[in-house]
Amino acid sequence: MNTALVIGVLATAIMSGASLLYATLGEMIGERAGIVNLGLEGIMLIGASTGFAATALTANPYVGVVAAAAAGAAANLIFAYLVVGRSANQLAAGLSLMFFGFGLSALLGRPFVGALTHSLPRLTLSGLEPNGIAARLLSHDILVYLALPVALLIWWLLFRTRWGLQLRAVGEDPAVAFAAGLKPNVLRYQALTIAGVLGGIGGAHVSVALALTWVEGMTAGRGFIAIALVIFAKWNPLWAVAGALLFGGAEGLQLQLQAAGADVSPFIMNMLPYLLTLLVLVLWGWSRQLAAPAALGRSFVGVE
Amino acid sequence: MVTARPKLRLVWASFVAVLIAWLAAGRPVQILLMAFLFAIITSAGDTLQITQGLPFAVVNILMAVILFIVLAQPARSVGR
Repeated sequence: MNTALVIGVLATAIMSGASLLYATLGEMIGERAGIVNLGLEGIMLIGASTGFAATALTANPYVGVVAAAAAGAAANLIFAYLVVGRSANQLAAGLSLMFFGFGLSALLGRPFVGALTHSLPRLTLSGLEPNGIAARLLSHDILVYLALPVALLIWWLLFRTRWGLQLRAVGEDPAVAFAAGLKPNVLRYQALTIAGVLGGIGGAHVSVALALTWVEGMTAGRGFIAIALVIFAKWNPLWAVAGALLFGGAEGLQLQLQAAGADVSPFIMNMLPYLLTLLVLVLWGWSRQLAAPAALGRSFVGVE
Repeated sequence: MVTARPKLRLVWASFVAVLIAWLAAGRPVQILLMAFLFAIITSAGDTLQITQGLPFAVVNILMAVILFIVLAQPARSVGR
């Protein structure tokens, strides 16, 4: 292991961990309100294609990120209407949303296949020597720098504000929360809107900052990794930071080993992040089950 | 995920299978019916690609909208 390899892995871990972190935080807020959103992959794809399209049209990547956040929220509101408004099955609604995301993102992104756009500008500290170790690790776009504050903000929202307490109460038992005078459906709509915004931003980061291109299905299962990360992180935003870095690092290791020409099959390397998820779930599965919001996956049809 | 690439289509089919099983609601004969319905929709995707020049993945929108309408039905006792 030479230093260039280690630094490459770390830089990739930070870069691709950021988009995972946004998506994970979004899913986590939804799950704290008791709603599993399997459509996260679709939300990320819609965010990626909308972000890329808006960036290509306006030549301003920040407009792209905002457009992606809005599109993600709008798409997640369809899901919210189904599972909250019509109390539909959450798993089926989530998979439907995933299909919707695949289709819509392919349609939106089609005119922009192969287009070149501006990427999110990298912000570098002025004092660093170019191409030095510190410069490689510390020159990222604004979304990467904002990822950690956003995780802290969401931890604060969930565990230190009245709104967060109410949201978690709804996730534990909506009927009791309703009896206590809360509005479970309103809180769930709010949680899913925030989830859509964060999922859209995560997707936009993949297309506008990481890949700089649009390909159908380009998020490549990141949405599903993010759902696994929520369990990995025990529904705690601060653990999600560690989880996102770890999974980003697994991806970075895979890229760096391939680039270094290591004699490992790329198919085995592709398995790494998923294998890690399985291992963690097997080893600490039980304590995670206890940490889950009690009403996760159940729909609230009201109290008669 | 749904592209002309056969490997990805396999992954896609496995997700569709989950939804078919859910729609069939524990009645095995309905699986045949639902699988046939989804096969029709999937082949519509090929037609769209050839005649309209749209990406194959666009068929997912059609499928999702059908599913959204099914999911929005009130008092669906299935799969709760």
